[in-house]
Amino acid sequence: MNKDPQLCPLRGRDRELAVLSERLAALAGGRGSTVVVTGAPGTGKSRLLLEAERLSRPYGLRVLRVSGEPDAAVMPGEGLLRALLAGPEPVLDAARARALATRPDHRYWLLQEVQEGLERVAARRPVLLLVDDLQWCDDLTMLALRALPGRLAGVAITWLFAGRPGDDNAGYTETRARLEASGATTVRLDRLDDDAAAQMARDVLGDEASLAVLALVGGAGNNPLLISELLSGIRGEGRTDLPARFGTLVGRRLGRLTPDGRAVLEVAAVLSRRIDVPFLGAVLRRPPATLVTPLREAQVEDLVHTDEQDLVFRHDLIREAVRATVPAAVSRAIRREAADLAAEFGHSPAEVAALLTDSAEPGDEEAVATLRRAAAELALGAPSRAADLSRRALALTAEYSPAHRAITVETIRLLWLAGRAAEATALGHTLLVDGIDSATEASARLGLAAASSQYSFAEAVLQCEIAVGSAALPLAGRAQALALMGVNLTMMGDFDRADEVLGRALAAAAAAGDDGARAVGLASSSVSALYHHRWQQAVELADEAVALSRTVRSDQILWGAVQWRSWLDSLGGRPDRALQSAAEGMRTAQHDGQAWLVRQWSLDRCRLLYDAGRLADAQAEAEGVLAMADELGAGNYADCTALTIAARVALHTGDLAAAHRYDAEAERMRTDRAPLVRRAGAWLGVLVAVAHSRSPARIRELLVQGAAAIGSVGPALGTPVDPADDVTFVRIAVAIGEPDWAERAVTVAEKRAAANPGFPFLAATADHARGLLAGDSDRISDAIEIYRQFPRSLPLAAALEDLAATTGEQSRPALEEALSLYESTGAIRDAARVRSALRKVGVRWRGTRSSSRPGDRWSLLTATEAAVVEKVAAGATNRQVATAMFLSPHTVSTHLRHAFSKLDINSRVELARLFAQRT
Amino acid sequence: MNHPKPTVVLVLGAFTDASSFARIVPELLDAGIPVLAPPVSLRSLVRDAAAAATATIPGDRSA
Repeated sequence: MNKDPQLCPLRGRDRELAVLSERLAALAGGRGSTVVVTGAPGTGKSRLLLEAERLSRPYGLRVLRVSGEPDAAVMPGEGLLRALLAGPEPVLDAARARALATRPDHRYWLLQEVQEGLERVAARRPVLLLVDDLQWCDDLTMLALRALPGRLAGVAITWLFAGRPGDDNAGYTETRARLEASGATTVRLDRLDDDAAAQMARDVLGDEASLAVLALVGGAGNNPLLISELLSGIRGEGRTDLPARFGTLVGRRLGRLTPDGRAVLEVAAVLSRRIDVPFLGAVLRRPPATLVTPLREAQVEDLVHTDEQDLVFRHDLIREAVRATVPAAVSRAIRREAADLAAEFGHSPAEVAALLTDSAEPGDEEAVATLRRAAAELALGAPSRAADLSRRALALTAEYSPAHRAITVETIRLLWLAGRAAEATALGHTLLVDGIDSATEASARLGLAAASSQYSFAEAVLQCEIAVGSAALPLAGRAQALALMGVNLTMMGDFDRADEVLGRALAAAAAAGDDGARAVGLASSSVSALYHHRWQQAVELADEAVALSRTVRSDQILWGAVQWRSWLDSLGGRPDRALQSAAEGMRTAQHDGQAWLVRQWSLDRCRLLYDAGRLADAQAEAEGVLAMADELGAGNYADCTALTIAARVALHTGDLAAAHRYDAEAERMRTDRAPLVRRAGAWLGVLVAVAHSRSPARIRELLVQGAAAIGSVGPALGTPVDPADDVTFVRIAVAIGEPDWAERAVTVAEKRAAANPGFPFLAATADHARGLLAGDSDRISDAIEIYRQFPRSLPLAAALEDLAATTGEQSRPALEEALSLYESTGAIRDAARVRSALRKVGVRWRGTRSSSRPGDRWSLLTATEAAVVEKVAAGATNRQVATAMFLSPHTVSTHLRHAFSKLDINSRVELARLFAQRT
Repeated sequence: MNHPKPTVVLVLGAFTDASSFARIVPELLDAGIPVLAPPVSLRSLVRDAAAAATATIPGDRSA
């Protein structure tokens, strides 16, 4: 009658199973979803996943299994890759996946590859992706698992995660928060109810389940694992007076092993959950053949079982209980020795490091060396884990030694790569800034500068200063450090120092014959020229920098001259030209496989699309690139472009809640170390405050920084400058009763326009600003005439509105034109404002162009959305669409999400059906 | 008495999808009855009938 509890039906989880059945059936119909199962160890999470798999069989779904391993010794991404490379039709091509591991932007490309693979597989057959022990998945797997469900929304995949409720590691906490934020359903497994617990007892013991047993089961706190352990004990020992404590129960089983079996299992438990038999033999110094008997005993006692080909502890709590019987000092000694053997065994440094992190003692130089090697190896794929290992190496090294300094620098760099900016900066401050004495450290500082320059301009300047200050830095390194320092100084807003540094950079680059550094120096000089109101010179310098950078190998480009050149087009009123270069640049970056450059172009495109008045496209680009923060990090540059534009688009479209959210994020800009970033943050705050009708005092407080900066070199408001912002500034300054500020802004705009006759767009904004301040309709009309030569509808529409406000009766045609411009850009909130002005001059009603027959939701799509949808409906994957349209795949997935919500559908299957009905 | 158990094939009709089966599938499985619910695209009768007819369950290891 007695049965193994493992083979018994699942009890007390009917509600949870109903949720899963419903999701699986929906998945069979093409609609995916995300479910997170949490519960303390032993509540039956893994068992629930097994049930889900059983319930999925009738539908013929493709099932993929990922599971985390507690010993963290795996290579980055291994958890995920093992699942994706398995089976007769693997999701990923093994050779391709291996090739990706060696690329510098490893994480980015791997995620692309995985996303593409899953899309392809799910298009043929819905996918059930089971992830057990999420809390133990490696960094890279975790990264993919938190990013992909959102990016693959609409694809027929159901993500079923199981993990512990605790938050012992940051990556896990973030992953759960992200999954929850993107709409995952959480299923919490609690203790069983009494009926279910009694039912379990009857399942195992049959009718023999006496009252005494039921009382014992009740004492087990109704934890299913403990109950099943208890029942096995009762069955095995034939007595019912067992203690309801897990460790004791496991201890009793251990006691039934022979001394040899017990010793072997204890060492195995100290090493890992998954038992590597040859390695265990090596640690025990005995041939693997002699392990057969003791391991079989453990299997008979059901302490370990086989999982695929491996021997594994049946539950991690069992392993923990066995390990707890070994004194900590002994356990450490075993792991330390195992680390040496692992190296001889050809295990990767990462695996060796995992054994070392908790076993090595301070001063263990060999351990330190291994940890550093492992950190270096993991730097690209799993920088966060690499940084942890490096920190561990640091902790084992004597302070004030040269090695300690070197490891500190390495650790800081890894922290930057991992996007852990605060830790990186804090650790940086523990280093004395003076006294670099080695070429290695100087070069390391240069690497630090390059790593931090996308994230913190101020930090990059500091690191360049330190590198340049060292006599040990070689000439080429000096040229690069100076050039990079110049770039970051211009981004910070310190133009006096930038000019001085750039002079030295160009001289050093010439002396070293380093064209890469020279191109960067020239491009930064162009930035400086622009902000000194010498636009023509800025263009010439940028052209020279572009020509030069074409002769440099693409992986040696430190900063994009080509990008800056395209910015100049847009600032001068020609975002259309800038977008052409961006398309070209994106194509090259995709072709060369340079992820940071793809991201860089994507960041730039946010602003270029906004300047071009393509609000929906700008929004999609911004959301897409903000999502890339997962694999490529966020920072100053992204804040000044993508975050700012996302907020500004929201203001135009009237999504004030979103604008408010982005503005809250922009708080970090307002406290940044770089003045330009602070000002850009404050300016964004002003725009959002105005939209929320905050008090003039509050607006003044935010605007005062920008007002003070007007007339000095460099952008006073957003970064890079937008001449059209000056007009907005004047409007706000007048409204809050600061005419002096407005007057100063107009004077500066006029001076800039006069100094640059070759850039008529500047004259338009100057005329517009002056006309607005003086209530001079002729000046505004002049501005309008010039604006008409440029493809920037939003400033033109604003000027038409301002003209209407000064002309009274004849305002109607201007308002109507403004309305039509706002409608064509998607600026719904501005359009509403103009419509209300039109009503005041007697125009009662005017239909919008988007109101077409009801049910025709297709007309709501923008041109880009329609193009994306058409390709996806025809079966293309996001990446194929991205390649065809010169977009990043993230942007494609954002467009698709927007289109889905407009079409009111949730899955690609529905899209295909809808599309088929339409044509 | 030892008749082999029949396999239940669930085929959905127009205006529905497989989510209609969410409750019946677990019950049948718990009763030990093999179940198949092949995907049907609802594009055309001929195509859907052919799809249902050739439905096999890849990866099925039903014990």
